[in-house]
Amino acid sequence: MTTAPTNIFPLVIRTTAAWLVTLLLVFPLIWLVLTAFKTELQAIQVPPQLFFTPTLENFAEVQVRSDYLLFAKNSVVTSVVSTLLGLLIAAPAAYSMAFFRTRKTRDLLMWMLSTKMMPAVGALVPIYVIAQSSGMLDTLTGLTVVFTMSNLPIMVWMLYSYFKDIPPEILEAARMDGASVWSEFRHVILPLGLGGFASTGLLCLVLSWNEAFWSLNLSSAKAGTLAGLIASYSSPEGLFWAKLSAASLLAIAPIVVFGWFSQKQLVQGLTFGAVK
Amino acid sequence: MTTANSYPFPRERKLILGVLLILAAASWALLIWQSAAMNSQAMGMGLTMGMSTGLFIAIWVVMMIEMIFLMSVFAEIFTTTGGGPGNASTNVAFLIFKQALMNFDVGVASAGALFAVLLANIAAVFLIRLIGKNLDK
Repeated sequence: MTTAPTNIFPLVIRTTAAWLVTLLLVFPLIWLVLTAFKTELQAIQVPPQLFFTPTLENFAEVQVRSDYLLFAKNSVVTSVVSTLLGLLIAAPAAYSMAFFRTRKTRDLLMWMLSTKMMPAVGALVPIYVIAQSSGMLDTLTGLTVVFTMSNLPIMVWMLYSYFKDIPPEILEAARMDGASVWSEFRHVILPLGLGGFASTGLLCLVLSWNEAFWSLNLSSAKAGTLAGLIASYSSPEGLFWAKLSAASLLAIAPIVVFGWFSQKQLVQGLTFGAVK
Repeated sequence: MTTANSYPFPRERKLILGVLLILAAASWALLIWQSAAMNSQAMGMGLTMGMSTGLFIAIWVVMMIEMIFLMSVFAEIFTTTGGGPGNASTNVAFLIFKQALMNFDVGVASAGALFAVLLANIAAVFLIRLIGKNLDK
């Protein structure tokens, strides 16, 4: 039996183009890793060296100069707690919007999304003043609250899009059996929307971890996150690229590894529940 | 007397350029809207440069999203250039930060913040409308 000859030329072009685009996207990360293992002199050399003897002195210097573990601990605490807190607030909000729609639900969702499009700096002055007057400047509590609030619109939207796909008949059946709101949520919504909760949680964990604006403005030595650690390697004498790269690599490594293992859920989350 | 340095927004030319860019984007949006309404594809000369209207709108939406997010770039400037040399790499977000937390001029920073929000909202309003249309589908 003969098969129809297929033209592999477009496939080759498409594959090459895909690889080129991927390389373009990954290039800064590859450059970061390379620079982290160079000496300061090698890092600023022109033309840049692709082959060199790698050194770990930058990582040692970062460890000596800054308390990496403190910054890492702050990042873990703020991102995990803000994600859990956000899920606790967003889940009932999304539940009511998905299953008890009113005329204003759509407008409310739109309004919530529009706040995400507002530049964060627009709220810098009031939030800074509130944090200062309530004693929450440079505290983990202050950062956690701000991270939760800034991610809340995305969380409500994502959970809403997952809940919307749960057939309301299932809930009606549960109500017929005498389920209360809590048991309806616990025994029906939670198992059916577990994927949605996981995707939303993972995405918001990554967003909180990468949050730099509020971390840089509202914290310094005590509650600084890893974004603050990176920024501390920028000095008035100029940039020390190799040390900055080493600090950046140390800051992003945990979340990159975490993202690698949970990429399936993350992709689901990023598509806002559109692909299932 | 108001000197060039004491003027609250010494980079007003760039801000005006930003407004012009937003206006250009908004007029493109209107053009696409028009082209979709008049079925210009059937007339053989589309304003969407031969692409389907859907694809053109998709590209435009991506551009708008990028514009909204790039307008609030802060950490990269903070870490690498610090807004300098001088004010060469200062954007609206960094200018507000400098006014508020480095020059302690909360009034000017708040005015700048309102301006930034207004700019982003002009860009976002079309986007939100598009998303809103798809929400009920």
